Amino acid sequence: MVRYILKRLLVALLTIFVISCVTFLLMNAIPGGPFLSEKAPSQATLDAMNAKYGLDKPVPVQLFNYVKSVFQGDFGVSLRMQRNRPILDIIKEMFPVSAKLGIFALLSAIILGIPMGCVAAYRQGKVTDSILRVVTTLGIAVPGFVLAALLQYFLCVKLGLFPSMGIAKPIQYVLPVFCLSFYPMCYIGRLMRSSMLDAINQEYVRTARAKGVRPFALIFKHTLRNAVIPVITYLGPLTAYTLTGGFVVESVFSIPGLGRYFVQSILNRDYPLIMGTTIFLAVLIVMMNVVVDIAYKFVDPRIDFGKGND
Amino acid sequence: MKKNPISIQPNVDKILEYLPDDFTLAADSEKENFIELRKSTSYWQDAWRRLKRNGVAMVALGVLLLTFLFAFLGPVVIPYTNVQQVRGSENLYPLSYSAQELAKLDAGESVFPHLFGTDQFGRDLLVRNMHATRISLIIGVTASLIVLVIGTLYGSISGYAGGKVDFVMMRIVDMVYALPEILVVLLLSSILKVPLQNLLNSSSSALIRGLSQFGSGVVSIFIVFGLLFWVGSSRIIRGQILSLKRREFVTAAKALGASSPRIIRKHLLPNCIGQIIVTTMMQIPSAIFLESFLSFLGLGVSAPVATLGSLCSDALGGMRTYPSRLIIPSIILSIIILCFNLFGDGLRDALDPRMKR
Repeated sequence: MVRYILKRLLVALLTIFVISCVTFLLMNAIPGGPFLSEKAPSQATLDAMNAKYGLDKPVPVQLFNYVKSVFQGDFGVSLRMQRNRPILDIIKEMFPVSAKLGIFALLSAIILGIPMGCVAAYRQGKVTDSILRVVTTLGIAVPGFVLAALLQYFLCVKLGLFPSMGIAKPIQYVLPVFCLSFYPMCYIGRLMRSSMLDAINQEYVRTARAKGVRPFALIFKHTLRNAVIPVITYLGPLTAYTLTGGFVVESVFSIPGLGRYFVQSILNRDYPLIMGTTIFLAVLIVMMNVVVDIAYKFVDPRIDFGKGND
Repeated sequence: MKKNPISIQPNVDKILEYLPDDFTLAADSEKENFIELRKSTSYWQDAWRRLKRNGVAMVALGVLLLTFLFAFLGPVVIPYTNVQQVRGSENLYPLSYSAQELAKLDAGESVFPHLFGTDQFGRDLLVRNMHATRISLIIGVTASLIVLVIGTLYGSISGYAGGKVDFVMMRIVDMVYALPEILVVLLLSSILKVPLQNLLNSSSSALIRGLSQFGSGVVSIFIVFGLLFWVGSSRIIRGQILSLKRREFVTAAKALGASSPRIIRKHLLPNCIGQIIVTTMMQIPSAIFLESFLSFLGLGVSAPVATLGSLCSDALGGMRTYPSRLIIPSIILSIIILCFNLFGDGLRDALDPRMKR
């Protein structure tokens, strides 16, 4: 077990290392330095600037320095969005807003999605199942930004039920969280339905039924525990989805989170900020995948620890 | 033993009592019937029959065909073009005419109605939506073809080689799988903007010019699909090849001296054609989604080319006054993705009944 965890952590570190290298090299490939603007500075100024930021050294040295500082938690400073402010500072300020939204969305997707799948499986072939199937199919097909924009138009502008922008009051969380959680909710619902159907058809469920176990206890004590395992494996991609889905939802609802800021920094070509945020988000996603993998092995004792691949 | 009265088996007990005169030659028509009866159904006929029975998938296929007509034939029929700015007809609501057009109509001239209205530059939105749909579809199909080629090559080599080669190749797949693809797309599209512009200005090659016309976002989508998205399909192909390569027909081909590439090409890949088609089909909606996502954020195609995502994005500002500009492309986009998903599901059930959930 310990070996497995160590191995997963090592792979995660390697992935983070590769991501930071790729990011750095990509940024390095852009023609033109970061100090070039409409007013071309003199050669002496450029040399001084390059020396100050270590840009006069050969690329491998720069890469080494960059990766080293990334592993120390230093992402450099922003160049355009907030001149010279450390990127870590910006992330610290913006990320809690996104995280709050993301955690709410994650929780509501899980809390609503699992029962949805259970109900659909237990009512297989009935009207409830069909209705849920239509809803989940739609939920998977409609892109998040379409949902966000349409809901904003119909519920905020037309009906005036919700305030359309900002995130100051609790009621303003309702729509963004819903938009962010609708796709994963439907996905979990479908996942849950098929794994629940598998579980229901197992022999031990028949035995339990024959013994007279009540349906409610049957769901919670016997089938749910087995059926929920695929949902746990989905938590990794789900985290990635909530983080990147946040880009759109935050942009549509004008929420001052890291996602919207990231998109703006891309549009403004604030390269150090793009690099820093990308690596930060990537680390988050990779770490979440590790946690999910480990949790998965804890939950399902049938999984072989020795090999650990696939 | 007593024979069941409704059994169609010939009565064996009496067979020895038959004389040659009891038999007659079969007529030609009877022979034809016999051949007709024994005609085997091929894999494709079988799959098509299963697909036809799946109502949802057939409706999805019909809608997709209509969408293709809308996107590729529509602009030919409509008398406006994608970039044409009709003076005096700016900001029209759907199905309305501007003052000048009304005057023309009164004078007895015919004016083609703006079914979806016009935008702030007087461009007809029906044609723009058709063009946008066309580009979204082209992007989806191209990206999934890229995935098809790379994924199939990689997966079949890895699966067929086996052993250490397979192990190393699959660890690479694991690594790529861990990379967050949307982040990489965003990163690439922001970086490629400048170099691509330079490439466009310096190059005279038709292919590059055609690509650059779509903008750096689209090119980076293709690159990212080529770099990252093949892992899913290569895993599926590898699994198939692994299970197929131990079968007798492969051993026979090896014994006859066929080379490995030939075995993969002629014996293994044709046997997993079902999976290949299904995984390719499933890539199309995700490519269309990714492109619209990028365009919506303003990182996709560059003006004047529009896709469904950028039309939605443009409409967001004027949502209160011109909601139809947002609603129409949103609905088209959702319908396309929905139908590709439903048709892909049906295709999977039809081509590969074992994969059915």
